[in-house]
Amino acid sequence: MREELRLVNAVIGMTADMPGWPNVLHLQGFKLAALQRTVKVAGLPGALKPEAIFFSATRNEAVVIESKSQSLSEPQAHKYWNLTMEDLIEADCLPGSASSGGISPVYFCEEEAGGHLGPAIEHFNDQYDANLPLVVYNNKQFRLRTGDIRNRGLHTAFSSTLWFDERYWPTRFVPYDAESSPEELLPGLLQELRALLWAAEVDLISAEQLAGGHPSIASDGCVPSFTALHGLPRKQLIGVIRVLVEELRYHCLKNYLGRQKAGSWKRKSTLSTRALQRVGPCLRSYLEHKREGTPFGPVPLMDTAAIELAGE
Amino acid sequence: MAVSSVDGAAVKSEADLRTYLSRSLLAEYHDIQEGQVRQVATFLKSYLIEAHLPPSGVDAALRQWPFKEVEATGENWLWRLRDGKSNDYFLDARDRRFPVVHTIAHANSADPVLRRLTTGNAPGLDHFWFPSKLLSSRDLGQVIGFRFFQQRNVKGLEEAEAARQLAKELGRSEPPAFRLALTEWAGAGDDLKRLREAGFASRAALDSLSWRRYEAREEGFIHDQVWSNGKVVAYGTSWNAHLANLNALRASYAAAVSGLEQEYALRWESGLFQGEPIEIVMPFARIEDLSEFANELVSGTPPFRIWGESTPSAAGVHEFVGIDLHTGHRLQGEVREDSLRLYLRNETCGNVLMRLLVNLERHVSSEVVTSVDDLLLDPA
Repeated sequence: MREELRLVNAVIGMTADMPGWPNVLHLQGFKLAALQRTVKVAGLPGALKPEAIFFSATRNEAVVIESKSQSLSEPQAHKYWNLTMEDLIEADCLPGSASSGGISPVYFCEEEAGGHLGPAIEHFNDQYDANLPLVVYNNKQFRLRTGDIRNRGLHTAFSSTLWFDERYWPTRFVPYDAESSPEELLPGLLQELRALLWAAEVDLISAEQLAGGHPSIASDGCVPSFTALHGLPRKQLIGVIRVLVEELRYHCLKNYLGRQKAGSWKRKSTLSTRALQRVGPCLRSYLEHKREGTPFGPVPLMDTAAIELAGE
Repeated sequence: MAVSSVDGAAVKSEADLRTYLSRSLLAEYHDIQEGQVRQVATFLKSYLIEAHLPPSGVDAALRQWPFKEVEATGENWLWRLRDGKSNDYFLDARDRRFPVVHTIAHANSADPVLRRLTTGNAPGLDHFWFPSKLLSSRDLGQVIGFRFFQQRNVKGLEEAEAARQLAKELGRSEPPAFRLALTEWAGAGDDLKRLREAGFASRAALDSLSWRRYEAREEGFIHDQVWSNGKVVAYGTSWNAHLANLNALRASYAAAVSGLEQEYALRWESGLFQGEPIEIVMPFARIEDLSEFANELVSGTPPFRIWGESTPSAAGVHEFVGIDLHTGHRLQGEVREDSLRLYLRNETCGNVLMRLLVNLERHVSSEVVTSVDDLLLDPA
């Protein structure tokens, strides 16, 4: 899992009341409101793309998190320092009930990167009379390294170090996004396919429905954050899913999923139970090939042209 | 054929049903015939069912095996069902999601039929799964008996290998189960509490709990034995008291299941990501082989009935994704040495958590602490 996504899951975990994991955002009623959404900051050129935006309806406050590796972009830091609730509302990142209120931008980075990033943020803060915060983390704790978190409750909590047991680090809230590899996407996709093949009333299945939910089974799709995704990331994910299912169909499920048109498939319903039995071995075969570094079946993964040439 | 002289075909209304079933309630169950004690009547049995189906789907689901006949009665919520041995069953579907099936057929016939109905070929139908906490916190009268059950046969557990070895030495296919029963004992309530809190904390999974309830208006009583699988066996003199107990059990179970679905299922609602995972901690358990345990959890077989895949994710953690074979709904989670974390998705039926909890109690460790204990202890 990409480090940015791992961090997003960790912070979403803090909005829940889960034993073994800090619940500092939960205590103030924060919930995830948007992921990787482009936000324009009034009066400044360019745009921000925070990892995640959280909103507390009870406090009418937002927390915006940005995951960093080592270097600090000053223009980006300016935008975070000047970001307002109005900017988030304008970018459609908050629920309709949100109005003008407090906003807390927070930089996060792994502890080893903090040695470089911390001084860079301190320099920025000194230079521009700002107070942007940096929270560093490792596999045992989250800790405020520098700056002030505007939300005082969060500032106090992170200042005093949040300890946790690494085994409780949550990973299933947003297990993948548009930048994840097909390998990471596959288990969730197979789960969705399995649910669709299991349901007797499902006839046609499209890539969009696999990603965002099929009405017949009231599912919200194999991408848990799909509702929060917009624009290019959304299109990218659907594209990856389309190719993956086509490849699964070609190698494992062609007797159970008929090709319909680009990006959609017809279920051969009478054989759905056998198709279900096929899904598991299919995944195992895929993982085995991945471990051994050999192509998955005769057609390399993601090679749509090869699928077409193979006469499908 | 059920041991009863009353013809089930004559039941057309609630009053008929009451008369029909009350005769079993009031019967003498044993008689001495030819110098031997023989059973001459059967107890009333009521089976609480969870039907995750569209409103019109309940009767459609019943119009298939294991029932040979499905007949409407004069009431639009009451069906008469008949199995291959001509035993009568009555489906009370006033609550479409949580219907109840009554019968006076012998348990040897009725149990397999209801088992096939709820775990067989009818997707969407499952029976109730009462976790020990939910069952023991009900107040249905005076506690007069209980049964414990524990069989640690799930792969990956520290003790499972020793149990399997013992089974092999005894020439059995399954490890012997721990069973302890107390029946018709006035101090059963206190004993239950003491045993669950002390010596048997890790083995005291409630298989059944029995209450005696008086009905002042009728000057009657009912003795209801409530099993963890939603079967309620009754004898006594008050049908009303039995019905009141069934309604109380159904209401608390429905509230717990609905609470899980509404408060914990992960979903986008009103522009925000709602719900939260459910943490299940088993302080007395030690899962030695996470891979074996997780694979068994998602093998698609009883008792868990979850079908999916598991993979190691981090040191000491296995992740799994799967579907609940009761509904086809998705769920996912993480397994650690002594705990699980479960993520219900937006459509996931809450019954899957109840099934998981009961089976963890029965097959892993009966002491299960969850982040939804409040919901189990006080569902309403």
